[in-house]
Amino acid sequence: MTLSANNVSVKLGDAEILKGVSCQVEPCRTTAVIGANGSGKSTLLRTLTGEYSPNEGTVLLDGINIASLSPLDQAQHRALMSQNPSIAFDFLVSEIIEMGWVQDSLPHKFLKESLAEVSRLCGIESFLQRAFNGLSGGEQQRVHFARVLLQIWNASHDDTSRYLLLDEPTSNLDMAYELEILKLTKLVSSQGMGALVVLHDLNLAARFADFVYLLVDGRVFCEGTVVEVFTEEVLSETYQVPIRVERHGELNRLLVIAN
Amino acid sequence: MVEEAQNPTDRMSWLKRLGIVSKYSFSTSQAAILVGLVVFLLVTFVLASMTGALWLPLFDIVWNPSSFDIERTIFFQLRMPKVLMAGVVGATLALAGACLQGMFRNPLADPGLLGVASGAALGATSFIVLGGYLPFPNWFEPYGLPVAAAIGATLVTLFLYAFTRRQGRLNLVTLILVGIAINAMGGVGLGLLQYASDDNQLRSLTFWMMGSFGRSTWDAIIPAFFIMAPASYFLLRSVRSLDLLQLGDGEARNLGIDVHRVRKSIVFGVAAIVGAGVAIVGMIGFVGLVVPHIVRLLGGPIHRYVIPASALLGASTLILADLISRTIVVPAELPVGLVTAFIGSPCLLWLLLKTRIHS
Ligand SMILES: Nc1ncnc2c1ncn2[C@@H]1O[C@H](COP(=O)(O)OP(=O)(O)OP(=O)(O)O)[C@@H](O)[C@H]1O
Ligand SMILES: [Mg+2]
Repeated sequence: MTLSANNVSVKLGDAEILKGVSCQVEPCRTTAVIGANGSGKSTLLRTLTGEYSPNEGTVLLDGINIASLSPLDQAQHRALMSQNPSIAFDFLVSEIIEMGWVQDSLPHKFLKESLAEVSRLCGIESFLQRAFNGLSGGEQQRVHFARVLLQIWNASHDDTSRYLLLDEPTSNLDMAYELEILKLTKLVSSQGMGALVVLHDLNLAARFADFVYLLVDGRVFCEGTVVEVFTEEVLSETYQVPIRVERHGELNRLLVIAN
Repeated sequence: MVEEAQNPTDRMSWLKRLGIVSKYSFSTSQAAILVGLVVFLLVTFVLASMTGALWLPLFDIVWNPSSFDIERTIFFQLRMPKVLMAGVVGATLALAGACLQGMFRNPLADPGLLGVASGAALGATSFIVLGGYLPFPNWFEPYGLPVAAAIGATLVTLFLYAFTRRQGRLNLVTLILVGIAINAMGGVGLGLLQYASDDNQLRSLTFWMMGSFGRSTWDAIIPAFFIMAPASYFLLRSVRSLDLLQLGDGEARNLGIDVHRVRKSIVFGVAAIVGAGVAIVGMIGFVGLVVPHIVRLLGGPIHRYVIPASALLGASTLILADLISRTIVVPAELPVGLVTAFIGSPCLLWLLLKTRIHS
């Protein structure tokens, strides 16, 4: 039970963006993808969702090649939160979240319950009936997060696997909500979901990731637990700036500081 | 089970089975608006069938047919097909407008502005002027005009589709400019065909320019209906996809939508209904633009509500516009396209100003 890329190479236009990348998203685990701008993180996520199809290699969803799955089959098992789209019409927040509901075979009451639960978790109950376009950037991002969560919400408590892919989910959020979203991600992944999160903030990655992939130039440069990947040599080489990594005694976690 | 039966969506299970309404229910206000629009449509329909150059006492005709022979003939052979046609064309134009706006993610898309109607008119005109030279079988004759118009509309919509394939969204400036260009090309085509046509054909042609229900007879309505009904069904099926498309093509795909298939069915659906409509009544502008806008102002932009509500309001609007055009200068008739343009063009101006301020 994993969502995995096996040795995938992806070409966009003439350039080869991903070069033989392998990675696994496993249930009950929060996996982080880090790397410099343009290293191919978003491309990897879009390949895992089937938006880009690999020239070489395969993407497997629970052992099945996603090329042979319909968009709806995939949608019921994995969700991607990417950059926030702007929306031309004045939808209500609740309508936007409802767009995430893809479990067509379940009756209406499951939608209602799941929607209530998801919006409670995300702390957006108070603006469910407000116009989406009237929200701040951060509030909009939280709404999109709720929508994505609803998409793979295990409303019927069956035992199928679900994967949550987040591309810089915290880019517009203040410190409190940054933590909030990652805590939520951690919570749902502890309940069985597999989570893959692209993060630029290495301290957040150090705090929340169970496993880390470091991409450099379309290749997995380094992979492993936080302790294995977050070394001064590796990070300094990747980002081309001197970086210090220290363990904070009281918090008992790694802190990453650029010199 | 008992609990499910009380659910409002389950009462609409027949719609669900057709794939039109799925898991999602209307809010109370949306349901109220829809019911209100149905009532409004019935009222306008009855009013318009009775009013005209000759007042037809509808209830007497129904209850006491023998003593109102002439009235009955007028009603069934002249008045009714006209009113029906106005309703059907109004509904389909508004439906087409709402679908194009959803697909292009732009509230100002409209079959007229985008040149889809021009394409249809050009197709229809080519058939009038050049169709005589082609060896069509007899039974095809009544279908020729709507099919030619639908082909013209399809070509334009396909062009628009190809044009927006990259980003999926048509921004305001591009939309207006592309519309101007296509309408201008359509104008050139129409001009050439007018130049090449004889007197008789010229008279038929002039009629496209303004739109009128003068040719709405049963013979014309039935073929149009056979084209419009399946096309409308396809459009009604895509309500949920239209909502998801608002998040962007990639996002819609992630949510399980086959984006290209949806866009294709919208392109062909819109082209077919606009083509069939234009073939019979000519060019009628602004219904597809203004009606969905009013509908969204009343009950929000969710397409499972916007699409049926636009169809209902579009039908009543065009029936009323036709009523005005028939009664305002009795016994003459104004072209109905003039009436809709008179009401619609200030609305367009207002919408443009409003959009500018917002963006
Ligand atoms: N559609 C495309 N066509 C061609 N090249 C592309 C396309 N999309 C991305 N690229 C290129 O691929 C590379 C990787 O892009 P990607 O968006 O995956 O990077 P990223 O790691 O997500 O970066 P960031 O941290 O800035 O989000 C970049 O060099 C980019 O220019
Ligand atoms: Mg990126």
